[in-house]
Amino acid sequence: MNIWKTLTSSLSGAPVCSPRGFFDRAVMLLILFALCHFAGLREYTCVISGTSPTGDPADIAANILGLAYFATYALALLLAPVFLIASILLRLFARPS
Amino acid sequence: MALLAGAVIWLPLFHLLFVENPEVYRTEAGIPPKAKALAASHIAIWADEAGSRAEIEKMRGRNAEWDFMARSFFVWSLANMALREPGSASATLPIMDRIIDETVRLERDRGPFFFLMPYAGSAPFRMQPVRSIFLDGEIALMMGLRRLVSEHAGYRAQLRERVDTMVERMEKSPILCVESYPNECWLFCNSIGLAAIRVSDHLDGTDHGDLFRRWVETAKKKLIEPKTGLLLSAFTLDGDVMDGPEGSSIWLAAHCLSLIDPAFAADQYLRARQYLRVRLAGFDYAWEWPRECPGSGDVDSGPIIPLLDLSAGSTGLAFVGAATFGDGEFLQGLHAALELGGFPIRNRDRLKYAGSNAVGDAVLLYSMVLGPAWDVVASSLSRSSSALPAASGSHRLLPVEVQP
Repeated sequence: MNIWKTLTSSLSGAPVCSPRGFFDRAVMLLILFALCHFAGLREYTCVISGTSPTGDPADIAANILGLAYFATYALALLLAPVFLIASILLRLFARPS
Repeated sequence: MALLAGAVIWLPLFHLLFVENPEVYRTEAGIPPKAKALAASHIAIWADEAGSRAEIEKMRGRNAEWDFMARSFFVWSLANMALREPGSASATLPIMDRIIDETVRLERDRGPFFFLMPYAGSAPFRMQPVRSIFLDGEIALMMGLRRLVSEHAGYRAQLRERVDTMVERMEKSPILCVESYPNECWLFCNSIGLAAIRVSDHLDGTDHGDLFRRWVETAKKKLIEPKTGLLLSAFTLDGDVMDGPEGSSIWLAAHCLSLIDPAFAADQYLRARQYLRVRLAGFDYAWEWPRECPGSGDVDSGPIIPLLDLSAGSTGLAFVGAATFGDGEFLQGLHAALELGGFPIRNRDRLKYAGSNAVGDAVLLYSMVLGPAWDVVASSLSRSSSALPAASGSHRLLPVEVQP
């Protein structure tokens, strides 16, 4: 699956700037974060304190997993709620075309 | 437009998800619940539960100092916890003794470089024989705080020996500071050394008030960075600047110096707060370097998070500074940031921060329980100073030579 394509399109095929489009993107970001979380990648976030998750500072893969968790966490926390609020606002205030 | 409105609504509010009731992490009496949970995780490490010591080994892979400092901060924390809840002392004293004994044994058997970074062996220490105040100061403070909880005859003699070593070497140094690494004197280590000497004075009836006064006078003359008024973090034995003020040194130095000269320590804390504190969207963190005198990253600062310039080392130790000086507003913002970006993992009665490591968690624990030990020592320090007592008898040390 092309994750980027999925993220930039919508689960429902709705346009980006629509209540459903924003809602879908929020859900996708939350799902992405949930996948990382339940895969146990939270333990790998010690990279942000300069500690290798495996004890080997040269273990690039472990560092990337930690940074992946950090990135999806930030997106889920900062961006997903913004999409959700935008979706609600559009639904409440946008004029039907 | 809708996205912008969403951001305007959400971003100023989301910190409220992470703001905690201060009683969770700071109480006047007793042990705060967050500290109890963090301590439980650390006790598991030292109880040798399966895989727990791997946490320590992970850190040694990056920096052997962190292994040592995790021990120090945890023992200091346990001592304060025992003073807060005397009933817990019977459980915590054996853990403290075990850590201290193992640390001293490793230092003796594996040599002083075991807990230092590899470059410690790249040049000779100017003061011979080799001693690092990084080790002497923290081990002395471990023994001293342990003895504050309950006397221990073995540690009495060992503490005296380390204190005499530090004092003798400070007196031979032009800046009253001692090497942590070859020709490198670190504020962090020397301020811990001073605090350990102060604790020893309280325990054993000695008086190094004259040394403390001269140390502060010398520091004000020779170790202050002029743009910020903050103490330098590293300098040579002759007082030449190596590193300007750093967050990973100054917060803890202010904490330790509060036992030596409370007004000077408070001034340093307020300056550090002015130059290093960052408040963003309801969260607080700290820079490693003031904007006025930027430095370059090293293992002490930890990784610097781009854009924010957040230093894990400086931010972690800012908890200690803020707790020492009762800075509730800063502390609340720091704890909110910790819950946001520390990635807490709670497992029954235990807590650890995945974004941190064992030394980071030990520093956080110390920030939540510090206070009683310093209060006990400070309460007995109104007597006037006198000349330094001479090291004598069985405590007499090997003669110290200073190499040019």
